[in-house]
Amino acid sequence: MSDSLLKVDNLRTYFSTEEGVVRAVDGISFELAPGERRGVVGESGSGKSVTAMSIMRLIEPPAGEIVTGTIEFQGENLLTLGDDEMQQVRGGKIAMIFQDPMTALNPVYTIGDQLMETIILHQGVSVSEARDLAIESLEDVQIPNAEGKLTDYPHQFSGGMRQRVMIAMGLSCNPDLLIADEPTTALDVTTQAQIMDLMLKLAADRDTAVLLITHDLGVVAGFCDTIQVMYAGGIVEYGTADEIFHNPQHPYTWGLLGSMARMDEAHQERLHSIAGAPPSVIDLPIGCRFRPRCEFAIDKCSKVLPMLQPGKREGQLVACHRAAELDLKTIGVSEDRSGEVAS
Amino acid sequence: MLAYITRRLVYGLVTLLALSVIVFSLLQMTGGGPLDRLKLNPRMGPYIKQLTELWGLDQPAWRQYFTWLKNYTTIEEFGLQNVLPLLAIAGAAGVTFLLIKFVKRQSKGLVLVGIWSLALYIAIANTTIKFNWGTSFSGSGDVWDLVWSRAGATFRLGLTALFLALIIGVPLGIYQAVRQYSFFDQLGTIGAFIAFSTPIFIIGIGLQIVLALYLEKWTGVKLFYVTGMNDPGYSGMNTIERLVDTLQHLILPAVSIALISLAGYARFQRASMLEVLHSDYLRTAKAKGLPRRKVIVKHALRNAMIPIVTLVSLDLAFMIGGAIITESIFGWPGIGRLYIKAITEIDYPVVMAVVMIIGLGLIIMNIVADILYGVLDPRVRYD
Amino acid sequence: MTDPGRDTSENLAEFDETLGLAIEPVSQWDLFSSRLRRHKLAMISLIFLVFLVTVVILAPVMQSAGWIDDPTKGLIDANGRIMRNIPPRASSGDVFYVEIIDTQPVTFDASPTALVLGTDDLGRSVFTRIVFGGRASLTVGLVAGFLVASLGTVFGSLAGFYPGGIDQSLMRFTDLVLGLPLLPVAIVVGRILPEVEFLPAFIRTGPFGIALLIGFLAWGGLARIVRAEFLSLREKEFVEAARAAGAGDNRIVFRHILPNAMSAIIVQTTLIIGAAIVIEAALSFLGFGVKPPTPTWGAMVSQGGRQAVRGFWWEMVFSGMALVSTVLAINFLGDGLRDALDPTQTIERK
Repeated sequence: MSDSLLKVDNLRTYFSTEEGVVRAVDGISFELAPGERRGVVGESGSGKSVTAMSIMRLIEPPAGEIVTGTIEFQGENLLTLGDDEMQQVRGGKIAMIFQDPMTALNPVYTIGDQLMETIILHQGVSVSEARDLAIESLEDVQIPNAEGKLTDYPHQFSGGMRQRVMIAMGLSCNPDLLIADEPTTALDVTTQAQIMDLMLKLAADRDTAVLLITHDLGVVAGFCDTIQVMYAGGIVEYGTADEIFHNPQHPYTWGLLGSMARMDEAHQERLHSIAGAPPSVIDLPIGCRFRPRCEFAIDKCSKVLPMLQPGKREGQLVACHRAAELDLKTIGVSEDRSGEVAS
Repeated sequence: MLAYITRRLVYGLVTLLALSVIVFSLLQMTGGGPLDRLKLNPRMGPYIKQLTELWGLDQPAWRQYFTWLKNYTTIEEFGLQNVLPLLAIAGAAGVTFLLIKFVKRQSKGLVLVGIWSLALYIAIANTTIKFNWGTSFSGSGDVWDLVWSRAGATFRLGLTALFLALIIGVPLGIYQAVRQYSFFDQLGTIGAFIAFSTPIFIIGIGLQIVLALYLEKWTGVKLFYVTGMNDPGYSGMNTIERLVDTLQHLILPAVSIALISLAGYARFQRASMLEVLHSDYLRTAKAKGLPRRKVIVKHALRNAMIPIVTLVSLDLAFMIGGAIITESIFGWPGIGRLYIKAITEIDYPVVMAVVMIIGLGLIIMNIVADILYGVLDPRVRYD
Repeated sequence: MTDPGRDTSENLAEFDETLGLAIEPVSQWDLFSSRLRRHKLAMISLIFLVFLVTVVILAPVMQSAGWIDDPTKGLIDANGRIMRNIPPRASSGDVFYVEIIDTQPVTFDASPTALVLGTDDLGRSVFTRIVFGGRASLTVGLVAGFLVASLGTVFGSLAGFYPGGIDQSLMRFTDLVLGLPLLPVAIVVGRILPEVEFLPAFIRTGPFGIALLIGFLAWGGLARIVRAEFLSLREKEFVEAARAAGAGDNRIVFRHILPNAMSAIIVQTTLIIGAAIVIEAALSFLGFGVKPPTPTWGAMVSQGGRQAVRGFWWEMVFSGMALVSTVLAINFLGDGLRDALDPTQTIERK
């Protein structure tokens, strides 16, 4: 698949801590096509943010280190790029939006300063041109009175407005890939949907691929073409959004779907929850990492780590020994998934 | 903002009054009086009673206090040498008005602080003013003249020490943070701990003995002087000789005051820089594709250096204490040594004058630090 | 697992155990002590300080056992001459001191440690005086530390727990105390203290007076820290929960807030103890601290400094070393405690 935009192969990112080596990302591989909208779903600590930070090469040694693997972006291995070339990629070809807009902007510089800094850096334009472009990008994210807002400081903005600024900053240089790490988690529910709509519309306009990282299935449901589910540093299931929602094949995905609250129907049954907590990624169990929490586990599961393999349906990948025999039905997932907002 | 400054000034005034009451009452508790020493001199005998009445020492303590307070705040002489003071104040007021009215940027605060400092400096330099601070009990003459003749020496020492501590301590802490866990960082941390734990008088005497006395004894070169501010033959020297002579006298006492503060600044700056280096907005700056140098210089330094402003203002009280000790070790003719001499002799007009100056200095510096903090950090609001 | 009830969690615990996955409960104390033990410098400092406190407490016992001498008496040699400024050496046995018993001078053998660190300008054993000097320093440190901890905690917690008028007036008062320039005021007190006739003698000339003075001047910083802790803890969920459960103010303060503010108080008090020792030494150095002939490290450095100029370096060097190493140990310990007590500390490579 040489036409893929991003190709991650056997990526392992480890952190050394006092307690031991944390295998935050442990051998994941995936590909992303140009313009594709991919949801990366998992509990906290599943390695989804570390995956994003690894792609941006923002893992700081000596604490964290990309141990093995390749990250090919437009045919080039990012891990072998020099610092200067990597700086061209960051912000220029791959932009990133972070979880907490309250702390992601530098408090002592104005919005205008910070926007124009990016634009000048990657587009090599003059200050006055950069200013025009900054105003334009603020208008794109529907910030009223964009010109006047340039001299405002981040603390004068609400959380939602700041995240709009972050989106403006991320998209101002027309990147080919936008990584959004839980972009709406810190916002209140009413703004979440607006921000997601805005971000994905702008990305679609620019034909920018999106890697949307979230623990919230409701968010990916409405916005993503494909979904990969991560658990304890590995990918356990991959498929189109439809397939994942209607025919989950991994017990973990099934559990996640069960624990999703829905607003469009009465709760006839209790919300299903996955028992236990994710394992510490320091002492990973031998065999399947989900085994201790899995109600379908068999002997083999405690001995052999299941690989990601084609599942029962076309294009779907799943890492479960019993994927072929299990018939996991989702409870009450209706056909209409647009614009839903879940807990 | 103006309301905030006014309120702070009022609190400061209350603190100053409390300070004066406390120190004055303490001085009243001594068994003897300020004239005890004079009484030892048989020739002073006939004058003791006269002096007691003249200085009001026969009055009850509370009356003595109010007399002191009244005199202390009374202006004895006041005159403008020319119109510059009025012009400077009026100009500063005008610029303030224009800036507040028409400029939106936060940095106008920095401009204002600068303009007002300059205006006040011009105003003070072109004004003759003298308060009625009384006469020294131990025969050192008029207290106002006495104190201000010594203040220059203390300013010279204190400002040099502050300058040294800042230009060495802050970059040291930043460098340590950027190279966290490196050998240099660990060496710096241990060094800062040792300097931080060494009392100032040990540093002072140590420097004096090793770098001034023994160095001269062993090498025959006189690099530093042990005592005083200038050589007796200072007036006959040319400019270069004067500069060298001044530095030879200044460096050791300034370093002994600076060293502990320097260690404190380095430790504080390291911690504050580390916090910024791990902040979300620095990650944003990196994710934008900024080069590492620019990330540190533009996005980290400014944020990391804001808190040091507060530390410096808090440290000033400590430096004043350090100056008192250092001045008595190095025979530096500043107000610290004057204070020690006056307190030994219970020369209370001098003691009170010096204590009040120190108290006032601390209050003003704290207010200035708060304002500067607000200017540097746009998030701070005064209310 | 259709019934997420009792048996599920039991099953899970079994799973976890068989896999070695079970999370063993670690008590707060275990966590604290293991963290402190990892901090090697803090451990060495702790051992040093325990040793120092023991020696200092036992100083009179050591004196009567003949291990050290009387700190106020000069040593004489076989010819009856006072042994001034003798450099450090092993005692040869010909060292004596004189005591007046029933108006008759009686000569005693000095202890074997009499000359190990030399003698001062009056012929007194530097080693003995350092041991006794430690009494003054540690008394001042501990008494002032205790005073600061109590005053700071009381003022800070009252201000932090009762917002409004109480907070305002207490904090105004705290600001006022903080606004006093510490050393200049301490010098005034130190100067007049011996002459204040209504005070008992041990306060007028001994380390207690200096300790009280430092304690009463230095609690402001801690009060502010405690208040800030209380303000933030008061809004925490677990306090809300306790309040919702009907806990009274007393219970909330003593069971829920104070224990959580404790680490800040302990760390700050440790640092205050070090600072108090330094301030006492500075006051004694300037001659406004503990009065002679009681030995203190500050006064010894001052006195020794004058001798060092003449080449007799030992009194200053050894008393200075005693002072610096004690303060250094306290600061290292404070740093170690801070690391060990901070529950928000993240796992980070050391």
